Amino acid sequence: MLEVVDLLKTFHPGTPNEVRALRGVSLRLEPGSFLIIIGTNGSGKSTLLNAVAGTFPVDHGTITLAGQTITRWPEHRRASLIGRVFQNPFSGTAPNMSIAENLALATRRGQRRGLGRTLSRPLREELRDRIRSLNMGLENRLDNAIGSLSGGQRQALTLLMASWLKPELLLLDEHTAALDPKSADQVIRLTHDIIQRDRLTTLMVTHSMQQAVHLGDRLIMMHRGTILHDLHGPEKARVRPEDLLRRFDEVRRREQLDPGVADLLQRRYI
Amino acid sequence: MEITTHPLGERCTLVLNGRLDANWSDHVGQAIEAAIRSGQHHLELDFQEVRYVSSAGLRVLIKYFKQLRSARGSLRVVRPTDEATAILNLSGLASLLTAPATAAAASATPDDAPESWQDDGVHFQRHQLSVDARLTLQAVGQPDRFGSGTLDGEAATILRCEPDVIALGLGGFGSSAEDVRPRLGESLTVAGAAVALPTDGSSVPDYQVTEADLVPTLSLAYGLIGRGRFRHLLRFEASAAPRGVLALSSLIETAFRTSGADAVGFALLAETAGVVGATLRRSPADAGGKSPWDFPSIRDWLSFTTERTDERSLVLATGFAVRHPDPDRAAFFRPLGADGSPQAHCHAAVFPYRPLPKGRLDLPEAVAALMATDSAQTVLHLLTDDRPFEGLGETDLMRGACWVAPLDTHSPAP
Repeated sequence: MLEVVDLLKTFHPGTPNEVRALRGVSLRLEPGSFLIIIGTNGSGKSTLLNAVAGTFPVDHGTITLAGQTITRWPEHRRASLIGRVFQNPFSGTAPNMSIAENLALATRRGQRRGLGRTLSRPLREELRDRIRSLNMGLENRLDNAIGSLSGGQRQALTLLMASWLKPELLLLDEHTAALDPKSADQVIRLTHDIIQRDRLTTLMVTHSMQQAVHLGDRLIMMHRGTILHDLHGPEKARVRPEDLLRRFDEVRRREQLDPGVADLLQRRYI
Repeated sequence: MEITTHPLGERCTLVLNGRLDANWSDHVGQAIEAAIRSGQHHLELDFQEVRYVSSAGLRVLIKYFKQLRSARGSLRVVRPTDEATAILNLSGLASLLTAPATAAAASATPDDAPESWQDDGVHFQRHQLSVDARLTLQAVGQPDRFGSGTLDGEAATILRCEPDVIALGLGGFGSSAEDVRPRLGESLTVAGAAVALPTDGSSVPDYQVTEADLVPTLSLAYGLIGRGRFRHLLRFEASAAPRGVLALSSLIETAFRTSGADAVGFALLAETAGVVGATLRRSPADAGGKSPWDFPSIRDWLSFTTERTDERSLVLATGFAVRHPDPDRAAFFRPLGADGSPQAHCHAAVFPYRPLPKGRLDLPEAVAALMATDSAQTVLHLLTDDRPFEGLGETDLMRGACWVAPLDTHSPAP
């Protein structure tokens, strides 16, 4: 279970570039819950994900994952609990290492990785089986460098690596945004299958209304560093892309309501 | 395929050249729609050069045939080729689509002789309905309490929306006061139909229409109610010059003039060129004593669009307007025009575009037909954006019908 309480994060405080990226975000995620996060650019979606992953320290608030308070843990220590897939297909893997070597690293995530032989024959067989399940024909290319693969293939492998040890939490940060539509579909199907099969607690940031509607059992919409809408249960199940677009439109209108309009409304609205 | 449009007075001919198949039927549909939106309700499709019509083409013809028939217009196929004639005959549509123009195509009923005039590029017609008809005005609730955040919705007025009632205000539908309280929003009723925009987060206008013995009931936290009959019907059509539109406040000024009164109640059904208004987002019942006017919390309370929304849509509106509100009722009125006159309160339900029949239009019939086929997209409190430089101005109308009655404002409050 993930619980974040009253997270605050301001980048570049006290400078002209000050950004209040998180303004008191609280969220409690039950085990096995699949949460979709949407929001306009700069709404704090990715900041929230990165705060949980430990990319930077938060200014205020606590983060608890699987019963442990991880607020002050460094990023690499959190990696024992958290699997992550980034938007950039080049971020999640080591390009000059082979597919097998990359996956072998993932199988020992959070454990001591010494100098002994890692790629034993049984492990190679297991890797081959799991990679076959991707249906991308990569099982015969275990020794190819990952850098030689397409973006979609790399994201599929990153996803496999991130979920290999059934992490307490899986973080997906627009992980299909840089892919062509067909590869994106493939990776989304794979995402859905893996999360379903392993009942992974997941946070997924997306800009795709289709994905937001069809994936996950809960959806939050962020705006200016806060959670604006939180849909779950039947409300999430029934939400349509046009409903989400309407909510975005409402956000836009909120922004347009400046003091001048407020004055107008006070004079002319009843 | 080539499509050329030749308007000629009341009649408009579209000359088609080529195959009316799935690929082209959409384009033909758009051309027909554009002609209808420009106010042409009698269309002739010249088929002299049409050699083939598929079912996709027939469907478009039928769609607009029906739409124009419901607007008392007509759509005819003229000079069909042998190939087109064969298809129309075999499909059984020849009798509908190629019938010669009949007397029914004449736009107004002959026994009706409306007075008509031109004013600032707008063509008006005035149809007398009932010589001494008036509306009595009743004001319910205390709008001031919205501003102080103390409107609890407890003492709502239950309004039976009879056919002779027009009303607007902050209201909603529900089985009890408790049920309505969390959804109080912009609402209106006219001709036995009521529409309200709930503030419970759904943002989809709900409605009730009269069916047999079922009379809509609207709970009004505050609002204005007019009872009685309309005195006359104003038809208006803005021509291209000089502005091509009629501002709502100008329509109201015309209504003052034609009814010889300083206070009028009206129902409006009009094709618009842009609606300017605001909607409530949250029920004032949970304001808890905090004023919604404070910035920025006003953003939680009201939604105002600073772009012209709903361009080319149909609005069904009710309104009350006075030149000088009497002090007891001042809280129910706000200046509408840019210069502060008239004082008015007007709510509009916005529907998808559809053409309105021309000539003398029956309000209950028109409202029933509209409510039976289309759902309102939103309900707005209409206002004028008079901010310097960036102001949007006010709601502009293209053409429509406005039912007007002088308002008897001196009825005692209940």
